[in-house]
Amino acid sequence: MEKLLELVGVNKHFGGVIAAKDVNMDVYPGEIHGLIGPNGAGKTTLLNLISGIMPVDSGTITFLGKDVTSIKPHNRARMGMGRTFQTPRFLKRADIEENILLAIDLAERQSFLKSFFSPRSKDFIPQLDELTRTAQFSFYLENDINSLTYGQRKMLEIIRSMLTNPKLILVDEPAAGLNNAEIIHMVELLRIAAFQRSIGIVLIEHSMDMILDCCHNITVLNFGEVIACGSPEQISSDQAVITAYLGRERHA
Amino acid sequence: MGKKIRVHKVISTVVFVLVLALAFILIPRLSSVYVLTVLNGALIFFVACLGICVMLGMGGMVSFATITFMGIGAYTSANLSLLLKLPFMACMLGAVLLSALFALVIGSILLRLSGTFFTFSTVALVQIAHGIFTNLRSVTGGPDGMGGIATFNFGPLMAKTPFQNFYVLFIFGLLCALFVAHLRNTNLGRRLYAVRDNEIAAAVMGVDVYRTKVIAFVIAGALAGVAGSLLVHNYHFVGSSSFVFDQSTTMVIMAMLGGISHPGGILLGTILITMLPEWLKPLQEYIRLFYGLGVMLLMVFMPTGLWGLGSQISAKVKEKYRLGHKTLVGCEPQAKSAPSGEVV
Repeated sequence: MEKLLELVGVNKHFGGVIAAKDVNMDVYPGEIHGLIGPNGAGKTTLLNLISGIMPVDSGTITFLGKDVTSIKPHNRARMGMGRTFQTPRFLKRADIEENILLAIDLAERQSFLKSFFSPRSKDFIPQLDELTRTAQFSFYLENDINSLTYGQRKMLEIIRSMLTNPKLILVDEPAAGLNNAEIIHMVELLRIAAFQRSIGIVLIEHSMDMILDCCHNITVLNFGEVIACGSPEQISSDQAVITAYLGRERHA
Repeated sequence: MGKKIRVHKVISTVVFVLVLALAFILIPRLSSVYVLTVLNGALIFFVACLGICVMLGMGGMVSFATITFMGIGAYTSANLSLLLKLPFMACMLGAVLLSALFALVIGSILLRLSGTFFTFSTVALVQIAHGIFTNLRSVTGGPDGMGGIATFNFGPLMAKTPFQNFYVLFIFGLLCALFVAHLRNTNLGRRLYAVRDNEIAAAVMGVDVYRTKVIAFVIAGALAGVAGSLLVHNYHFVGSSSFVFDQSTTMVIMAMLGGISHPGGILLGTILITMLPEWLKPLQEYIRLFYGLGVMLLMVFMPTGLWGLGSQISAKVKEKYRLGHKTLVGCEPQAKSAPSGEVV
């Protein structure tokens, strides 16, 4: 199968702090690829490098067979690279519909004149409704975005990202701050994205249960370096990973 | 449900049109020549301040450059009218094109700066431009200005009195306001909101942040160009003292007082600030003090302006009486079917 995303020898440092050191990573369509590591391992920085929010120091990022290393973030988004944040980022003084329409704009890429003279698109509602039912919550499109709970906003951010027709979604800690029922629905959404729509997903998450349950492959970072990469079974028995997470075993 | 939506929409549209028609018919009939002249001035500033609605209200960028683009529009229109004897509409077209072109060039440079630095650079721009307007006598007439500019004319129709000027200004103000109000419903409007709220989140939603900012700056420049053209044909005169930094701050205050997020707010603000000195004639010497205190109190108690306050109240009323149409999406959680306790 053709690679969706390929990182080769990606480096990034902030002053003396190394955030990414010679990182290699491959993501395939329909794959949920876990990205884990202790706090400060450089996981979010790596997502920022992939989505282009920060430039890499060296190395190449290939997306859909094209070298995107020096391509601007909005152009990567237009190629089909979605991104969600640790705390959801929506339009603040706007209703839910306007927030969703921002995604529809990215999917449809209408000209300004066409958008000026045609009424608001309603075509997205069935798909939005279906995904929202999967996530087991409800809302009125005309309500303010802040009328949703934190967990609902996090799920809506994933749904909104799916509505942009992406090839890849970079998901940063989707389960943080969610209750158990919401985590189940979140996993359901990610599975629909990966299995039904062949979207590749890079998933940062601290909940090991969730990572081991839904990821096909896992890359483990520590101090910006890949210390292990493999299936959940391989990772959970990898000595380097256990050391990074739990510290070295003390011998008497 | 379908019927209810239509009734609600029809009623609000009818009310809007009725209010406009009443204003259009009654204001000239009920006002003295003096009041109408002042009101005409307010309408001109209203058009320019609509640019602030786009830049600040939608895009979150504080620009003081509006007055400069108004100046560029004014001098273009004046020169086209005096030298080439072009009709009013052609002069205005030239004014809009040139001020938009200047906005494109200047905006492309200044918008590489972010936030406060951009704002400061527009302050510098206003000072430089005022210097040029004052000293480039061959084009601008300097502080003495240029007089004898033709009145509003449309073929054989000529506006000769303040009353006729009012109708012209009213129509241009209305067209510009409708354009700005409708921007919110377009993809450009949403992109501007996205840029205002979070540039990184906007970029990952495919928004070209820099380009969007430049487009907003060009739209604001073009609106200021329209206002500049209206200014010279309304007063038949233009002098460089109209385009000083002081005027820029007044315009930002006008927009902030009324509410930067909606053209209605801008209209309220421009009319209040222009009429206030007339109403408070006895307190003339203290008017600046009132402005200053007013703006401070406003920022503390009413950061969204008069219009913002009004729309908050109307939203509450709508909520209470369940007015307006709402689209339900999704379903309520089925508490029993969701397994609890066990994580994934």
